[in-house]
Amino acid sequence: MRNVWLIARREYLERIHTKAFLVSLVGFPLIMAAVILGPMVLAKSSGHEKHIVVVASDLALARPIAQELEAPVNNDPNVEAAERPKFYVTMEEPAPELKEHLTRDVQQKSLDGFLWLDHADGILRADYYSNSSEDFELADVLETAVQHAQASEQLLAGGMPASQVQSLFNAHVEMRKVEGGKDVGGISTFGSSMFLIMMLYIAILVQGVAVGNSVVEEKTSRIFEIMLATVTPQEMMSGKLLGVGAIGLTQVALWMLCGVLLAAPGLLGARAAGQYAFHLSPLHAMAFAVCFILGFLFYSALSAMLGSLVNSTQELQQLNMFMGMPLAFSIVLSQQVISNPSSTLSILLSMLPPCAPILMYLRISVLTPPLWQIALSLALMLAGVWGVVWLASRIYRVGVLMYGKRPTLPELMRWLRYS
Amino acid sequence: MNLVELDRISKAYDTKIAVHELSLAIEAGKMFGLLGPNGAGKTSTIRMMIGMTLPDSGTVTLFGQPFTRKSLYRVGYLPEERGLYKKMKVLDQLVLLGQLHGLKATQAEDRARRWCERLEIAGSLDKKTEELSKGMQQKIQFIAAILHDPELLIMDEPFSGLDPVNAAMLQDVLVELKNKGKAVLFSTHRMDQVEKLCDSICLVHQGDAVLTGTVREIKSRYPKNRLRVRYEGDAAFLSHPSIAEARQSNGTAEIRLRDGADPQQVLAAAMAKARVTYFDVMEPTLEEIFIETVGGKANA
Repeated sequence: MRNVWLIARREYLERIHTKAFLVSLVGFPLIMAAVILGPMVLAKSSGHEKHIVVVASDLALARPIAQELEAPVNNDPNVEAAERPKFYVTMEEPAPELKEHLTRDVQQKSLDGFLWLDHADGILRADYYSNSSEDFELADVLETAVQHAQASEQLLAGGMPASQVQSLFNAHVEMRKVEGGKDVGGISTFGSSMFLIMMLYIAILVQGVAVGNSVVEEKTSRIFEIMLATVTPQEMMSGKLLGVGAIGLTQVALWMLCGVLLAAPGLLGARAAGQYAFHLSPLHAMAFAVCFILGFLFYSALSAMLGSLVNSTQELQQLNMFMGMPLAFSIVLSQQVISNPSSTLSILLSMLPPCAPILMYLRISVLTPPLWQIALSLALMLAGVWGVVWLASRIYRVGVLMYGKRPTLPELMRWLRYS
Repeated sequence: MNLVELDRISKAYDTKIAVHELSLAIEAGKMFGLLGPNGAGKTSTIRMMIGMTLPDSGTVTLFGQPFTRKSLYRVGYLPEERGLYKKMKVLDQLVLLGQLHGLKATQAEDRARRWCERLEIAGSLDKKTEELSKGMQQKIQFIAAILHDPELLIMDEPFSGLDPVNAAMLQDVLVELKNKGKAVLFSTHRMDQVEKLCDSICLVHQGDAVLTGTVREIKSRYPKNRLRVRYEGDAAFLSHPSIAEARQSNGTAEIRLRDGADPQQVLAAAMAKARVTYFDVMEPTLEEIFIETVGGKANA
């Protein structure tokens, strides 16, 4: 045990002093901050009013649209205030060559866009012409405005008082999450869940790969020859996993601290309750740590095994690609799991040890799965970790002293049986 | 007392037999040479001796008891393939290796400093290994092997790559340790070094121990059939019927006698025609014995 501790400490101290650690420590939060703050800064700097033209034969329809665009009636005040573009709207009636004229204006950027409304057979058709067809947020805003205008036109025509019509559109649904029987807040968990699983993914992958690399390095520098004269390969591997794992935990803990600071009121006040708000209860932090540790052990043991099989980091990189696939797969599927966390697919995936660290954590963070599912997933993860560590340590102890060509599969099977 | 006893140990990797029923014993206070060409099975033997691998059959006895990992605290090993943590400072590295051999950190640091001074590398204690020259790294690794004052020292090619001054420095340390009662196992393919330093040897060839015993005894097993003669005058004696082969240059002749021939007859023949200034009946060198033994095996 003393040897394991000595090796783990060496590993930890060496790593914590490297530039790579510092860079990742500072770099990741910087990127995250850029992701969070970037749109705000951009929104502010491009905060000029959008000049658009609403073209409709019926001004009674165009006017409420213009009014709503210039002064929104409803919606979440927090988000809208910061995010919604401001509009300056003029109205026109259709005329010959008006479309060509406006198109030219849009092209020359003297106009941001124009909304063309057309009644055909009692159905309203609305087209928005601008330099970009991909502004989904704007599409949302325009759609709401048109719908509201259409509805209020009909309601007013039907004799409903204007004030009543206005109040109709003030409904707003706020997403709140229940956790452990308590209402933990009115925030969208989507952003913070994505943020956290990305962090989990990066931490597991980066630290897992680090283990493999350092095994290759020790192998090529022949350090094993001297170390194995006094410690067992198992002790070396456990020490390495512990040391690198501790680095990973340190890194994640510091990242989280940054996250919490970033989300603190004052710094990000306007966005505190917004989409990207960083929400992490102690329970979640624990789940995160457990998922990181189990995922890290699973992948780093695999990585240590691969590292012991090859003779250069280049060779290792090729193998790492395959190793990381289940993790990448989990990230790809995360959208599906977020939108449908209790589907059979989601449940099954969150039970598979290679995917469980990410997907089970994701399910825990978007809803609270039944206890038995969490327990089963944990048990399977532990079993998976045990299996991988067993396999890896048997391959590792032979592999680290073998140089030259990479072993074939039958050779590996024989290694498993060596005493 | 025997510090190491190997009793008919064997090891095979897949189909290749690395070591075959090899037995040897190493006494305290002696220097033991494990000899053999590259790939003979020396490193495999050493690895089994210190439990890095287990023998397929046979037993390893260290310090009078069956192998346990605790015994490794009493063994110092300098592997043939040198390796140190490149980014680690020399002192930290030595302390770590000392600790892994059961020393306390302060104790290890103290000894590391003293040994570095003795081997004239105290200036590099605070440097990273990668900043050091190869010879210096080798000295560091040598210190790592002896830091915990082991009773058994296993040195795999300890002088390879060292200049004569440094090689002599390490050699002095080894002799000193031997005289203090440590056993030194010296693995090499350099026969001349073994001849100077070792008391006993084991000659390994293709996994088999082909010769074991003290250097003296082994040499006495082989006939003294080589002469070196320095003379002035007529060289006609070189065609004497007892001489199998002779080479001469500058008035010195190296002679190999036929089996059973008497050197005295050659001397008499030489003195009859020439003036002999030097006459030596030479012992076979280990190298010759090695070539003879291994060559014989190969032909058989």
